[in-house]
Amino acid sequence: MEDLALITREQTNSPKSLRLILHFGNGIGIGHQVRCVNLATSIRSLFPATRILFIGHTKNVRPIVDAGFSYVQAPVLWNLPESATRFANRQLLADIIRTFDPDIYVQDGESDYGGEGFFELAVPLSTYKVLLLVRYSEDTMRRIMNSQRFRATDLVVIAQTLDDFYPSLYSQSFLQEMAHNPKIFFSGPITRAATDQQISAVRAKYGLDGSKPIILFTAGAGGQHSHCDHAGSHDGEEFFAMASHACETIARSGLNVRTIVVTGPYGPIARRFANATVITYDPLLPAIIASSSLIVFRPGYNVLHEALLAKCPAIIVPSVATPENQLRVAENLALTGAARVVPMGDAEALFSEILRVIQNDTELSEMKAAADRICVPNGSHNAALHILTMGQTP
Amino acid sequence: MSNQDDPKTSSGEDTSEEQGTETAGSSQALLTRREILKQILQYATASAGALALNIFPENLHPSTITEYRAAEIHAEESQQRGRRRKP
Repeated sequence: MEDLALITREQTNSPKSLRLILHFGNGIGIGHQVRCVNLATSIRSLFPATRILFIGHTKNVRPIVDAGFSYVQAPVLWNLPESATRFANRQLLADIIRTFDPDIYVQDGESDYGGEGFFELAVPLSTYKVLLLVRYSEDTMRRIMNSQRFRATDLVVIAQTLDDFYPSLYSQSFLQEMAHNPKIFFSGPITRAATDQQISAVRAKYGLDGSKPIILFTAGAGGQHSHCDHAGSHDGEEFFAMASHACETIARSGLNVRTIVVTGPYGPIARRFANATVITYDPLLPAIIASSSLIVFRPGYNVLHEALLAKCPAIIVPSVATPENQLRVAENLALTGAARVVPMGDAEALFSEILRVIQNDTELSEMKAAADRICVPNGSHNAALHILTMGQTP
Repeated sequence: MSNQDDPKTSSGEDTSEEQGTETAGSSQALLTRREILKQILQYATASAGALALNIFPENLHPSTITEYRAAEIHAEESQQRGRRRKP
């Protein structure tokens, strides 16, 4: 085999600039990718000279392309046809990381997306290693904190705060353990808010002239991988079936509203959304949310924070089989008054709730005010600053 | 009033211009291991420019897989020889 040492950085005589890899895996939609893009955008604004390389295992890399970042798109390792190809791919990724020789390597998610042992074995020892996580359950967090990957990690950024609207999920002793662990940093949500310019752009693009209330249905910008649900759940299909039923019933009812459905880029979603504007993917989803009177959504991490930042009244349809316990998150939000909850699969209840809420201006105003009270500021800048500061400290 | 006559709505047709980008870069030439790493190194050290690499199996040159297969077989054989030598 050819000796890779023949290709060395010294041959190029280029000055060393800060190099950073963001490595993310495949989820229900494109949430991991969007979170990494949000973080990278903040890093780029703080330190524009950073060379950023994404390594992603999703079929769709549109958010990275739209944001103008560079990427290596690799298949989902466990879906490859044979073990030899899987091995080859893993070694190729390891070669890519060693060749790029990053100063900072960020891996997003609870699993090691390079495969078991990849994080601690494939990333150079001299590289500052960061895990980007959200608040998983105590069992999952304990498993992560007892792993080789955690021991090899220099910094764990948890993209939430400990005192937000999410359910606590943790025992007092574990809270103390996390709070005192010097590796762990709670940055707040790594999310994105729409600018006034973006809101104007989507209003012009979709003809949202404010003449009618707008009801938005979405499972997040990425929607749903048909083949990639948790624990054999069909909640993704179920959510869009409910949205389809709601659009149909709204159209028949003569309710004077505009309906928009964002399906995600993985379609086709085999549903008809009567009289609705159907959008497969739009990078400006936060601006569409900010232009809406009511959002009906499945509460993945990104769309949940995007809806709260936009202070958009919400009806939540939680999935039951997700690591972040969407049902408890939704119930907590309902207690604050910022959202209403409808069980997955109950299409009639969804239509009734939409009808009740959208016609009640007082209730809509109260929901907006509640979202404003509990909304946690965007922590992207915090996370980026912490990673850059720590990562450049010898 | 119904929204049935709203010219901006439709019966479920896709009005977005943003279609999903699957297998971006799928039209690129088949990639050898050396070519991939050369591009990575160039991107790491260049002052400008972007990199879009798709390393799905169908975009890899057959030699890329073969090289790693050979390395895997070599590693396994070395391991077995090591085991046999152990008392």
